[in-house]
Amino acid sequence: MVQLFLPALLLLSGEDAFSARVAPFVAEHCAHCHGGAHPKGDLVLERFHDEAGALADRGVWLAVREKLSAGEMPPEERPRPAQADVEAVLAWIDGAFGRAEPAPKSGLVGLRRLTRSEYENTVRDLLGVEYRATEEFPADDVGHGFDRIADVLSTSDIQVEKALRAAERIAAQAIVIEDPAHPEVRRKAAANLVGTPWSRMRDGALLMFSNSDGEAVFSLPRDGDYVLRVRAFGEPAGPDPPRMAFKVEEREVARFDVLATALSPQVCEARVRIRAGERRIAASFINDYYKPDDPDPSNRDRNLGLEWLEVAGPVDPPVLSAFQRRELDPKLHKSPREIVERLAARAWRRPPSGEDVGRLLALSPEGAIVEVRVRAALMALLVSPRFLFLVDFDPEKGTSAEGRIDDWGLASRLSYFLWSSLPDQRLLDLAGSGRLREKETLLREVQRMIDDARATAFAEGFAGQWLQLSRLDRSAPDPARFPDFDEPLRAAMRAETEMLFESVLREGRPAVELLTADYALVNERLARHYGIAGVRGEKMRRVHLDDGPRGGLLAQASILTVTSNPTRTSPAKRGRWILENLLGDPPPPPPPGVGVLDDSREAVLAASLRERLARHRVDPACGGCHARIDALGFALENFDAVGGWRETDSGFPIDAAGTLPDGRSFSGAVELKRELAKGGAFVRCLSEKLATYALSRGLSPADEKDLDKLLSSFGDRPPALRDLVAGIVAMDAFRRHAGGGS
Amino acid sequence: MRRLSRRTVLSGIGAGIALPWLESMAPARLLSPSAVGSPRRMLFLYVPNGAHMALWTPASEGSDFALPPTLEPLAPLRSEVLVLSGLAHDGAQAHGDGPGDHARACACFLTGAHPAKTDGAGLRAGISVDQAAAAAIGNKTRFRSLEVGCEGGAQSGPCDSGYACAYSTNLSWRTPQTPAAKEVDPRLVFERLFGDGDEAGLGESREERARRRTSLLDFALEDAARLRGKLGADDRRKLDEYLHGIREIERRIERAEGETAASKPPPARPAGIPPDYGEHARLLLDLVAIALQADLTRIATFSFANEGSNRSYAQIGAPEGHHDLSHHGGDTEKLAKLGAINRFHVEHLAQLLARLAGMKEGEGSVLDASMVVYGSGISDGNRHNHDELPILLAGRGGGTIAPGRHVRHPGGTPACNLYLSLLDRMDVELPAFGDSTGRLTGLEG
Repeated sequence: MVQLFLPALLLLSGEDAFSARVAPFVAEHCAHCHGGAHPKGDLVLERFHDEAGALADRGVWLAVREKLSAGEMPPEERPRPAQADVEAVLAWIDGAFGRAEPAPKSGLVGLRRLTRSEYENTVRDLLGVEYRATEEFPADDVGHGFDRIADVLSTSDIQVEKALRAAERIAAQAIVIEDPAHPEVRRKAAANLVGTPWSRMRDGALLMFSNSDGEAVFSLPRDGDYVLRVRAFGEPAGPDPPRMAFKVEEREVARFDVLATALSPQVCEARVRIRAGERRIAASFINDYYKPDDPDPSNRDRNLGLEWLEVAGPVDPPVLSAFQRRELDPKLHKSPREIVERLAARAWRRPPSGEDVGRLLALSPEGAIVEVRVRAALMALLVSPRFLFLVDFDPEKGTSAEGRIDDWGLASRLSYFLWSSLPDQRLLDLAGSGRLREKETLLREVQRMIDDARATAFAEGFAGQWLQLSRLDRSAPDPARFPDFDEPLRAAMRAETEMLFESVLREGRPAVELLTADYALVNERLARHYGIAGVRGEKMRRVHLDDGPRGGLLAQASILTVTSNPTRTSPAKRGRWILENLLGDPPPPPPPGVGVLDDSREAVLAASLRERLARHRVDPACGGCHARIDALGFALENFDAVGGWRETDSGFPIDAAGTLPDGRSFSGAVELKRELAKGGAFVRCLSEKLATYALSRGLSPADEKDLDKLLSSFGDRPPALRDLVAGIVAMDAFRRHAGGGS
Repeated sequence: MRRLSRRTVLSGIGAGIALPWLESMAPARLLSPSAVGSPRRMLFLYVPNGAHMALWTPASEGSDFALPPTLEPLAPLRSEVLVLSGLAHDGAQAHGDGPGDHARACACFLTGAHPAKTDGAGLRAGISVDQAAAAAIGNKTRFRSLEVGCEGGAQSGPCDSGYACAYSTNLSWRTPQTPAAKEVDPRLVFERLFGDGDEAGLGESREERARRRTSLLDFALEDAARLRGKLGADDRRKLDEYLHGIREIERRIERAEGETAASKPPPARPAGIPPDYGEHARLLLDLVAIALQADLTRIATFSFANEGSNRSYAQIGAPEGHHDLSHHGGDTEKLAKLGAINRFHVEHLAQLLARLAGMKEGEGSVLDASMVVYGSGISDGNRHNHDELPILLAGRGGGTIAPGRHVRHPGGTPACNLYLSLLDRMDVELPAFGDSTGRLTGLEG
């Protein structure tokens, strides 16, 4: 098996490696400056005598890693250490500190806030209510590349505020309380209308003597049809009768001629669709007439009077949520207690205590109708920390001393991993009977869950974040250079990548097929972009490719676009993306102040991008890293900055040949894909990302070892993506609190 | 019927149209600020990726300075602007943590802290200056503080060299571990500021709603208290964040009892995030200005983009990506485009300041009562240095600041010295803030 880019020396680890390789290296190459009475940069490296001491100072060693791997240290005037020695130190650092984070500290962590997309899915699956939490809530912060890292998901005040408002809106939608036969009538007498700008009260009516609004604010429970009614009279003058208009939020919705007089006012009504919420509704006088010198005194001044304004409704039948239809059907005669208990068990993803149910019911008067009682309880369920946070343990007991999450916690971990939503009844039943923790049951459930439609959330959530597809939404290819780029293309690009992941997952295909697929997933728009003939319509479908460069992630327009600049391709960005996301070996960022690529018009005209980058690499501060970064990116140079195929760039023919750091050479995307698929690095990287996503935390060295075990259990057989997912669920860490040690 | 465009309506809110409504919703004592003195406000605006300093820094010092090209849009307000050269953020330096200058620059800008290098566990920056003020005096307004920006959090992927994205996207930190998330959608900002809470349509009166919410919050508090007893330290911190949020809503409900009900709800709200970036920034800044004027809050932060943003500015002829351009390598074409981007942001600052200056209050304007800090945590985007930062201060801090000058401080003067001095003016007197070494001298002229 060929391993790409793994440090050459991995024989020693831990304390052995520190004393045999790191300490002597420091003594020989570093202590000269970083030791003694006046250490450079205030950094003393010779003070670390054993691994335990070194582990306490992670920041220092990660800094050492950066400097060493970038070739910045030791400085030029000092003797160069042997590359193998450098790699040994780097390998020890990586082993000791993981790639970015220390092993979780002691202290068990059992709470994680729901992300906004999890919130959205959970509400949908719990109640059948669509609430756009992904639009209403602030974005969740990201760590380790994902938005679901427990340590990073903090809770701002604004998030709690939004959760309260969301609970109210969701409860109003989930449980509609209205009697269509007797719609509520909200009447405002004239005295309660605001008449602006020209009005006064006269004999209990609001008299508007110039164009004015007689207005009030009505609180409307839902979007729906409402009947607006006004009792009005006119005082005519001039050629036309007094005219009245209904306005909703200043927008005219109906108008009437008011022929009645103050002696027998008339009722005008109109049925109008209005959005829920506090709405300003007005009866307005819109054709004032005033001629003070008219010889006929009764023909001088036209006015409009209002006695009352009312809004009745909603008068259209309500749309009932799935929850209301299921649980609150009057024919079922369920008691509030029964409904609330079941609802709490689902919403909190574990059974409530009898006391909990009592507290939930105490939020409404005992004599109220069942809808009122359940609605009050639902709002409380949704603002409770037991809803907003995933709780890994029994709240009555706390985190378990041996570090294991309980059965309910396991059911949630599973469902939020594969569905980004709450456990279904079957998972809860299995948790309740204690069978979910049995390995065979657990693995059978994983298969069932992957087959379920809700697993699409996993494809979108995991693949979308792993491959950074959300950046596609913000990509702004320069319209002057890429006039064909449009929104349908952007959408199809993203869909292709998500669908590839989803089909490889669901169909039990090998994980490496993500790289080597001999098919594209396209609709008409994307097929045109790829130059594939014969695809019609918007529907995405699989098209087999006999030959050619397309197929697999690296040839997908989505990936090729997010790794480009708005105006041109960036072999360095593409190379870095491959190292980071496909090989799990992120290069350090460029040191500040180094020269950047000359992108001026003259430079672009004078030499190919490849030649310019080659010159860039001559700079020793850049060369070390760019040699391996650029070589990968160049393989994809036949794809332009939006993933279209090209033979030339700025007039220069594309040369897509390259050499991997280990000496293997390749030409073009097809060979690069093949070479990347050969080594174990891709599958290893993918499983690290999967485990990070599944556990909602950075991986510890112990997790890394468990992954080694998992991967070696597949032997020479390339593992199916499905089996990798199942293998991660079966890992001991999946059943432990973060920080629980393993 | 005349239909108002979103912009017309919004520009109207601050001016004449909505004033009766604003007055009706503001507590009576605020209606005559001259009687009690205008409340002081502080506002922080952030731009990522540093600035082309040659076009930013005025050539001469004192009050007789010429506005350099990037600051030219401020010409009409030149007398209200104090350019502060020489300020630095030592906390944003590597200090052995290696690369990650963008993440550190943002996390340090208002905190003065050296953020812990982590992608997850142990996330920690420091309390930001706005939040230090909000904690002390935020209870005087309906909202302790307001956090808005044009870009939300990163949704995936690495942000900067092993630093969690929280660092690159959050200016405002309520505690060293808890960033205050920002809102990006003008519609949501509007609803939050001006909605009166019955968007749900539960058909309740204001009093019923307040009563129901109070019992709901009591339920949540009790739930959290039960849970809290069983938690380890990390989980406790997470739950305490939640509890803080609950208490903040309680405070607001109690406070609202003393306010008169709005007789007239606000005019049409923004529809959402406009596709045009400049329009987006303008809408958000308008809302910030209105919130300050109506004394809904006295403390706000605004970020034009997350740190390290590679946004394309094609609309002003710089489609290459802001971050890429900031690594200009001395290339004149890139520097010119970078200068154009810097100037574009300053134009928005100028509009905001003009807006605040036009809001009359007592004998002066809202700008007179305000302290507006504008700047970046990086100086030269190519070098990633965190000294000689591009920072300016606008407004008169209620007559305690003498703008209209360019003042150069000795290199390495902590920006936190400025913050400490601003906090003084908010009546928040702290012995030190961040890495401050004292008060910033010379603000009074």
